[in-house]
Amino acid sequence: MDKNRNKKIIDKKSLHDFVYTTSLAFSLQTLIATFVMFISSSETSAEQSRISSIYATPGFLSKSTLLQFFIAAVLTGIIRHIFLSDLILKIKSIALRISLMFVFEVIMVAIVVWRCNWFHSVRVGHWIGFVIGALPCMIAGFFMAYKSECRENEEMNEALRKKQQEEEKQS
Amino acid sequence: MKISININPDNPETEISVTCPQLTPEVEKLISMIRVMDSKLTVKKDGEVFLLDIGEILYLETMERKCFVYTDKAVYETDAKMYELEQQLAASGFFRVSKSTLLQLKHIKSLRADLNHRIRITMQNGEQLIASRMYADELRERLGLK
Repeated sequence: MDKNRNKKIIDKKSLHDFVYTTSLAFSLQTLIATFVMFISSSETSAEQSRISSIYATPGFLSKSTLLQFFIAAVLTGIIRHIFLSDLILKIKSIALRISLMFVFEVIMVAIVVWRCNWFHSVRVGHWIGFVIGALPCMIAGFFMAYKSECRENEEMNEALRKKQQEEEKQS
Repeated sequence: MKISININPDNPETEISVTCPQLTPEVEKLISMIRVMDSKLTVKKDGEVFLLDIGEILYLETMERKCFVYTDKAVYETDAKMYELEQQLAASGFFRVSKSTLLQLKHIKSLRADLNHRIRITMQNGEQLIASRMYADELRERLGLK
């Protein structure tokens, strides 16, 4: 029995499970949501205003905006796949993984908002306020998560050593 | 099935002999259970049958309806079912960490919390296994953390 061959089968199976469950669920959710919005959208301004008032959305749900939503959602999915799986990056710390994922998601959304001009009245002051407000929260969040993660790992390994010693004494 | 017990104080150790007209799967199962009591597990590799010391086993894993036994040096196959092994090996410090994996506590090197409440287990030979969300809670309880 070739051990490496067995491990390859396991890796392939878990990779398949991961891609199947997460990406399929995410893609289906995005596709259905976009499709529903797409068929209910209209290029005429009167119809757009009516839809905006029904769904309480900040802007018009034009077909081009929906396409931008879709692209942003797909990009978010790609970023999540990269940071929450071991496919490309092998980051051990969960806190670091999630923090980096949020940083990249925020950068991506900021670029999309800026390039696609989603909110027409956004000015430089808003961006500065956004960065000043979000950055300390993100740094504090990362350190709190990292500290609790380290404590949990320490506790688990300490309990494991105790249990192993107990079992060794019994045997 | 006839069971006869002979108590003889002159015998230096307990001896079990099985007499049967032919080697049926039931008899093989009975022998394998007796061997587990003696801290041995019957395993196969490349068509040969081995008696493996339970203490050597790092973990057991089912894959495509086959059960593989992993030691530090080699991988073996066993005909026993995972649920049977779980019952038989529970007293030897084995426990389930996922639907398909059973591992021995004494061979764990370290534990690390992973995403989605799972636990990443590093074995003494460096291999990494994942305790699924459901079994991770059981592992925490077993370690007295819950």
